[in-house]
Amino acid sequence: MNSKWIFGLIVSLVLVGTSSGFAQAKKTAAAPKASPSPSVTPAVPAEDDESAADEPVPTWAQQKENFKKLEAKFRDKSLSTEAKVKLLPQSNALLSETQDIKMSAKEKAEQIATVVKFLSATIESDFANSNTNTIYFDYKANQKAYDAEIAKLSSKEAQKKILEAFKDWAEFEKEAEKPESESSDE
Amino acid sequence: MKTNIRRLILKPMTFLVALILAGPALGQEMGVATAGVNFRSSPNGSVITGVPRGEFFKIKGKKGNWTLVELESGRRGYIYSKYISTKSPDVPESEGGFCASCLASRGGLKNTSENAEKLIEMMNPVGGPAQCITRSVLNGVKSVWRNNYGGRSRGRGDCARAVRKGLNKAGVWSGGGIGHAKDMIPGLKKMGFKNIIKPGMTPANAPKNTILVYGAASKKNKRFCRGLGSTYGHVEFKENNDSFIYDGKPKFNIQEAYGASCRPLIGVMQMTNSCPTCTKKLKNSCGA
Repeated sequence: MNSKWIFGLIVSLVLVGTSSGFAQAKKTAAAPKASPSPSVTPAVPAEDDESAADEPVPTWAQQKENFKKLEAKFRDKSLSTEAKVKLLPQSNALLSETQDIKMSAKEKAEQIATVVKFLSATIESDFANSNTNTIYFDYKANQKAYDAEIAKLSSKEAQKKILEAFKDWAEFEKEAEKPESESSDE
Repeated sequence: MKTNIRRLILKPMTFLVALILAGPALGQEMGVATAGVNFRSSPNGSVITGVPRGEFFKIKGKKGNWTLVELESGRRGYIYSKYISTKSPDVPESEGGFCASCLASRGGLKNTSENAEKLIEMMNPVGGPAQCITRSVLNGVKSVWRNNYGGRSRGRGDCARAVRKGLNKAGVWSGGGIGHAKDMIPGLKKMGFKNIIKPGMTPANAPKNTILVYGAASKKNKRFCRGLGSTYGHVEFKENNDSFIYDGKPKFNIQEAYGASCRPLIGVMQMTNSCPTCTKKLKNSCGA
C-alpha cells in the first residue's frame, strides 16, 4: 500500500508541475470579467508584427526543399483531410514567402513548375482555394508560364480546379475594384 | 507505535522526494511571443504556423538567433529569439482582458475550444427577439448558399456579398453594399449586431450563430500573407464548429487555411434584441 501511494503521489506531482508552467504563466495574464460582456472597443490586429521583416529570406534551393517535403505530406494517402487542412497555413506561408526570393530566369521557371506541382497536391484539401489566392499575383504576372505548367499536369481534374480557382480570383479582383452598388440585393 | 513512527517519517520523506522530482517541471522556463511570429520546423526552415502575440510556450533551447520552443500542443519548433520575452505580458484588466484557456483551467474544465466556447456563450447569452432574429439570419444565409451558390462546399471569393444577401433574405437588411468583408463591422452594427470580441477569442471558441469578420493582414505580415483576401479580409457566418457559411459552406473556419496573422479575427458579431433595420414583418414575428 505504501509503495502504491508513493508512486501515485510522485506521478501526480510531476503532472501538476508540467502543467503548472502554462497555468502559472497564464495566471499573470488578464483575468476574465465575471459580468456579461460590457461594451468594449473591438480588438484591432496588432500593427507591430515585425518578425517577418527581420527573419532572413531563404534561398530558392532551401525553399525548393521545403516545397518538396510539404508536398509529400499532402500526397500522403494515410493522412486525413483534417490533418492536411492543418498544413494549409504552412503551405500558404511557403507560397507567400517564395515570392520574395530573388532568382535568375532559370530559377524562376523552376519555381513556377514547383509551385504548380505543389498546387496539384493541395487543391483537393484546400477548402478555401487559399493556395491559389496566395500565389494569385505571381500567377497574374507570369500567367503564360503558369498556364503552360498547369497544362503539363497529368491530372485533368487538378488542372480544371486550379484554372477555375485562378479565374474566380481574377473575377473577385475585378469586382472588388468596382465602387459599391447602392441597389438592394434580391 | 511502530506504525505511527513509520508514518511520521515516511510521509514527509515522500513529499520531499516528489518535490525534488517535480522541481525541474515546476521550474520550466516559459516564454511569450512579443509580436505575431512564425513557428518554424528549423532555424530558417519552413513555417509551420503563426504564433500570435501573447502566446505562451516552454523554452527548450537556443540555436544562434533562434529559440527552440514547445507550444501548449506539445509541438516543438523554432521562433526568432528577438520576439521572445521571458516576462509575462502585462495586460490591464481595465482593457477587459480575456483568456479563455485561463477560464477553462481555473474552472477545472478541460482546456478545449469546445469548453471555452460554452463558457463564452454563457457570458454572452442570447435570448428573446435576438435569438429569433438570429435564427432568421441563419436561415437566410443558408438559403442564399443553397440557391445562389449551388450549395457548394468551397467558397470562391464572394463571402461579403453572400453574407449580405443572407441578411437581405432574412429581412435584417434592405439596403445595398456595406463594404468589403473587413469593413463590414459598422454596417452590421447599424443592423443591431454587437461586436462581442475580446482578446483571446478565436473562431473556434467564438459563440455559435455569430458573424465572424476578419481583417486584412498587417503590412508587416505581407511577406507571409499575400493574396487578395489579405487586402479585403473575410466574413463568414459561424453556425457551429463544423459549419461556416458564406458563398461556400466548409467544415473549417478561414483561419484554418491562412493562420491567424493573415486573417486576424476583428469582429464576432452577435445580434441584439434591437434590430433597427429589420423589416416590420420580422420585428413582429420576433417580438422586437
